Amino acid sequence: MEKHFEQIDYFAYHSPFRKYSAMSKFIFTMTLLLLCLYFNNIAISCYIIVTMLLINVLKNNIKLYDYIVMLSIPFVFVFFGCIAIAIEIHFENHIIIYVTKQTVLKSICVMARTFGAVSILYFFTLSTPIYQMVFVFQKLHIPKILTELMYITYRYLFILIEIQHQIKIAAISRLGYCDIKTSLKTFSSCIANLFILSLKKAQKHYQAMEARCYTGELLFLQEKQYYNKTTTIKATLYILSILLLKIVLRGQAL
Amino acid sequence: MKKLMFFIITFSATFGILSNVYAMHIMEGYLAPSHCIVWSIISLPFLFWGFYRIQKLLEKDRKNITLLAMAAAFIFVISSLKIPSVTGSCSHMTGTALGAILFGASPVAVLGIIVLLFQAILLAHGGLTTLGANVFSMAIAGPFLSYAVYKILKKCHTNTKVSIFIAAFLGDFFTYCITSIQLAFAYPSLEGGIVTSIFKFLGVFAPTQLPLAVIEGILTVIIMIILQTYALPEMKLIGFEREV
Repeated sequence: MEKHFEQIDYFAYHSPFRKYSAMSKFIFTMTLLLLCLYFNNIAISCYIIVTMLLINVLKNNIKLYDYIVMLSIPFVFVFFGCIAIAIEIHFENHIIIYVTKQTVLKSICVMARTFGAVSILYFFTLSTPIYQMVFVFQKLHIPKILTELMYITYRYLFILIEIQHQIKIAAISRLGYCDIKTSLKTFSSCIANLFILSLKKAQKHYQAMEARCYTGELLFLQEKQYYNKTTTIKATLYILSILLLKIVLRGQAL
Repeated sequence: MKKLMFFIITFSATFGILSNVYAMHIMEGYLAPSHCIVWSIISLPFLFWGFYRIQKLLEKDRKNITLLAMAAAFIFVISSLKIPSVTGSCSHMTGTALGAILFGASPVAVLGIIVLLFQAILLAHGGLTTLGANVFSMAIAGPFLSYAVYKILKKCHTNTKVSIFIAAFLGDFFTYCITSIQLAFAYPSLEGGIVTSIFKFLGVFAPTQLPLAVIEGILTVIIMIILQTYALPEMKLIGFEREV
C-alpha cells in the first residue's frame, strides 16, 4: 500500500501536465466524470477507458505495467459489487439464486462505468500534485481552516510513514512478527508508539512554526501556472468527441 | 442452481482470503449522480457541526492545528497498514473507531473528509463523486456509533476492555451495513426491491468484512491498553481524561 501511495505522488510531481493550470485540469476532470456518470453507456465508458489509457501512458509518461497495476486496485470492490447486482434471489419455499440477461448486462454496464470513472480520476491524480489541488479548493472557497489542515496533514503523512517504516523494521528484526499472537501484539504496540511519537512531533512542529512567525495563516508561494491554448482546445475537442459519440449511439447500446 | 451458488460462495471465500481488501470504499463511478448528491447533502449537517467544533478548538488554542493535522495523518497511516492475519490476506484497519474514542466523534467527521479525500487521491480508494457517500458511512456513521456505544457502556460501568472492543466492533460492522444499504439504494433488486438488495450486498461483502471487524476490535483494545499505560500525559493533552 505504501508503495502505491508514494507512486501516485511521485508520478504527479513528474507529470508533463504539472505545469498547466490546476483549475482547468479540475474542470476538465469534473466535466468528464459527470458525462461518464450521466450517460451510463457501455460504449462511452469503454471509449473513455481506452482513451484515458492512451493519454496516461503516452502523454503522461506512465509505464503501461504501472498503470494496469493501478487500475487493478478497485477490481475487488467492483467485482463483488457487480456480483451483487447480477444475482437475483427468489424466496418461496426454497431460496433460489439466479441471474437474468438484464441484470448481467446492468452489472457489466456498471463495471465499465466504474473503470471509466476511475481512469478519469487517475488522469487527474497522476497529473496534479496535492498542493495544486489544495489551490483549487481554495479557489472554490472551501473554508481556510480545512485547506490549511490539508496542507499540514499532507506534510505529516510522509513523516509518519517514515517513522512507521523504521518502527516496523525494528520490530521485524526483533522477530516481532514470528507468529500470529505476537504479531497482533507487535502491530498494536507499533500503532500506540506511532501515536505517542506523532503527538510529540505535533508539539515540536508548532514550536517550529511559531519560531518562524506563524500567526494563524499559512502562506505558500504559488508556482507560475501556464495556460496553454492548444491544450485547452484539445481538451474541448475530447469532450466534444464524447458528446458526438453519444449522439451517434442514440437509441443504441445501454 | 446449486452449482452456481457453490461457485459464488467459493469465489467470494477465495477472494476474501487472497485479495487486498480495502475496507468498504465505494469506488468512483459506482453511484449515479443523484445518489452522490443526496448522500453529500445528508453528510453536510454533521460536517458543519464538526467544523464548528474544530473552529472552537482552534479559537481556544491555535496550537491545536498541528494536533488535528497529526490526528488526520495518524488515521490515514493506520488505515493504510496491513493487519497481520492468519490466512495471509492483507486487510486494513478502518481506524475510525480508534479515532473516535481518542479524538471524539464530531472532529473525526471533519478529519474523515480529509483522510478520505487523500485516500481517493493518493491511493485510488474511493473517489471524488462518491466522497459524500463514503464520508457518511466511514467518517460519520461508524465513528458516531462507536463513540456513543463507548460512552454508554462506560456509564454502565462495563469493563473498559469489553466496552472498547464492542465499540470498535460495532463501529466497523455498522460502517459495513451502511455501505451495503447505500449500495442497495443505488441498485435495488428487480424482485423484492431494496430489502433483498441489502441482503445481497451484505452477503457478498460478509466474508471479508466480518473477520476484519473482530480483528479491528481486538487490536483497538490492545492499542488502548498500551496507550493508557504509557501515554497518559499525551492523552490528557488531546482531552482524553479517563481513569486508567
